[in-house]
Amino acid sequence: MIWLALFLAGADQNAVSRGEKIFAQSCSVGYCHGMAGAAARGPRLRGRTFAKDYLYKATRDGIPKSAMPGWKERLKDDEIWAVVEYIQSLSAGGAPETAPAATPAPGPSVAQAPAHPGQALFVERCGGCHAAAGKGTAVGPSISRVTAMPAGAPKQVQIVKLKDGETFPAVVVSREEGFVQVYDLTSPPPVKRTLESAEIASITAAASWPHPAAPTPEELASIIGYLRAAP
Amino acid sequence: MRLPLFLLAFAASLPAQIDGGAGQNWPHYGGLHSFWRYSTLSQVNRSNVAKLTPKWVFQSGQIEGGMQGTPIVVDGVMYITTSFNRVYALDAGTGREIWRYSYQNPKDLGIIYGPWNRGVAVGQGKVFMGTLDNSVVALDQKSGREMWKVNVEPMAQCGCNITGAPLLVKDKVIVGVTGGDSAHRGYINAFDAKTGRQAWRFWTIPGPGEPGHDTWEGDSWKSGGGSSWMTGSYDPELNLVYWGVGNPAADFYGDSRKGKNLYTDSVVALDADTGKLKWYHQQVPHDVWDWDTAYECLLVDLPVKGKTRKLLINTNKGGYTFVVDRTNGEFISAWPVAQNINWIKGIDEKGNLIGRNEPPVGVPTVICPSIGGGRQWNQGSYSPKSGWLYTTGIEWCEDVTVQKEEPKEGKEFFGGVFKLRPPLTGAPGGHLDAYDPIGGKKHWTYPAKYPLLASILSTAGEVVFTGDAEGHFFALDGRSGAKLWSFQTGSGHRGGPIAYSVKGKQYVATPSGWGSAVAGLMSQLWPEAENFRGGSAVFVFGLAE
Repeated sequence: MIWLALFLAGADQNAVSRGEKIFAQSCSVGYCHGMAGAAARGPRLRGRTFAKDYLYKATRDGIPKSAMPGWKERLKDDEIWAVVEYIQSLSAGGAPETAPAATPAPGPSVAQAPAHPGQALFVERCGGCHAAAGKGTAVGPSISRVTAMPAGAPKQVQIVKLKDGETFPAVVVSREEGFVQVYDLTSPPPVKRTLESAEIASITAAASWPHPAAPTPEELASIIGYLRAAP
Repeated sequence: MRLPLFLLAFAASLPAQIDGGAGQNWPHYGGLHSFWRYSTLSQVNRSNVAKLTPKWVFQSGQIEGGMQGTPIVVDGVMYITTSFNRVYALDAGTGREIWRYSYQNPKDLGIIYGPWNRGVAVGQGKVFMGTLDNSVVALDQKSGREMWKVNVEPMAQCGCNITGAPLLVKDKVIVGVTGGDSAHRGYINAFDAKTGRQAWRFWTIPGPGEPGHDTWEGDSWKSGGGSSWMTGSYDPELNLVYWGVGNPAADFYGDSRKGKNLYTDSVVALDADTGKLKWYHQQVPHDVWDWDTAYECLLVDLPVKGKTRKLLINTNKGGYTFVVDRTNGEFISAWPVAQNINWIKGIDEKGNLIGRNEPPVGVPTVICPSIGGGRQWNQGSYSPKSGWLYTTGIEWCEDVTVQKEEPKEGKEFFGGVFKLRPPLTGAPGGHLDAYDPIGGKKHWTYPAKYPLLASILSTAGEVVFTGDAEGHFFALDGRSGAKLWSFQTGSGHRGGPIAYSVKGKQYVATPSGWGSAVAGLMSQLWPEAENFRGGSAVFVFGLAE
């Protein structure tokens, strides 16, 4: 008890109460962590002891291959530290059960300004095939720098003809022994298909290819605005 | 065989009854597309079930999240999945591994819906699975080679993924999505089984100009949840796909989404070829308790007031079973599967909720059942032999505090916090019960110390199988509920047991492996549950020779 009092006296009580609020609104929502660190889908935090640095890193960057997301884009650095202080205040005391693998680089979190309005439009209208600024899927070319659609068809687009008569526009991804992997561009979203070489009649350059319906000029302006502003 | 003419005429005059009995194979997640989880096999029966012995065990080694799936068996091959989207094809007679497939998920999943997977669909020479990064893959049934893969929507955008087993209907593979606790607009998607091309999408929340859009306030429809995280059913005669739609988001905070919030907490009936809505039945308008209607839709033809009707039975997380006419969605009846229910006082003869108990913002309120549900998603079973529905119930409550919350696209959108508490009457715990499917008359109850979180299997041998949190896989007498046999598998049960046969021998198989969100929540009421052992195995039993 004395130890606990000393511990609490050492902790930043202001940060603890800030952290409690953030924890309630960010961590013990959904089925993730239980209220005040009780167990839920995520593990129990109350009554356990973690190294501070470990908690900071896990909260900031998330835990790979787990449901624990990184919070660096949603919480400011001092907010993450406040959550850490709060979790520490639920501690059982004693030696930490999880030693930090390495002291994390105290890289600041990058809690971002509200997303550019063009971002959602980009992801919705372009992101199924194009990647830019870490969003979307790279089937087609990165469109950070594309200025205009080439006449005819982009050089990546080819026409795949199967021996059973099926014909479709595609981007070839890879060829390995006996198989060809392509993105089928018939309709969005693109489908990554593995075709047996034996079932393919031909793969030829596309003479023309109608790019799926373009956004309206207003939408396009917003998307370009987003791409220009993106890092 | 040639039938005499008068018999043919007689057969033609009988209304076609939907079938739900799986035989040699267990071809679909729910047994057959009508979701009875019932096996017509009777080699193992009430008189000899005590002689069941283990035949083989398959350990996947991937124990995080346990083993929550239901195996599929087709022509002597068993298909199972584990967390993180691994698929195995096994010799169903011996357990020998035929092939395995491991989906490459992105490293930084960070998804709030867990790493588990609940199964595959098999057919058209392929094995279909939804993935943690919200994609669908088709594997060659013989080799496990990936044939196609399509991303439904970037995971980072939607804050959602796929954990439920797909539904294969004719030439289409139909998948739902999680995301009901995120700022996301839900959907159900169909893909061409051969090519992976999207065939149709049904938005579970109507967009501008569509009927039902006005049941959402302002822009709340854009982030209103409505996930479709379990597996649907199919009636081939009506050509309708039935799917349960989950809760609206934010789960607890409803002030910014005033209105009925269609089609959340509804069963929707969709044309299998086009995905067009044929009818819907909303169980809970404007849900503020996180009651999903996401569980299974069991399709059965039974007499109602002397006339055989095509019915759909769906149990809601709030603890009520709803029975509707599956040709048009007309309400037939509703009855409770749990005793501790205080979010409403009851349901009237038209299906309207009476006496809603809505927790106010910022004031801790006792709500029963808890968010874990008066029943969990693990599915019930209908036996035509007894005519009874075997399904579980849970007695527990929660203190919920509603918080005002603004949606952030693809991020958690929950609107409150909760803490489990014991029920207002009696001890917390679970039970498995046998009911009349329409009136809900209870014939027997099997009490359990902890919630029963595994699905139910009933068989023509009049045996009811399921497993418990402590690792027991057990058999009850379908008539009396008496325990006939039990086997300790070493880890708790959260998946779906099945029956099948190979070379004329009946087997009973069960996944074993404790895990899931609700398994985690349990330790708030039962601290010892935190130490329940994990696992990820399939146990297969047969009669001693």
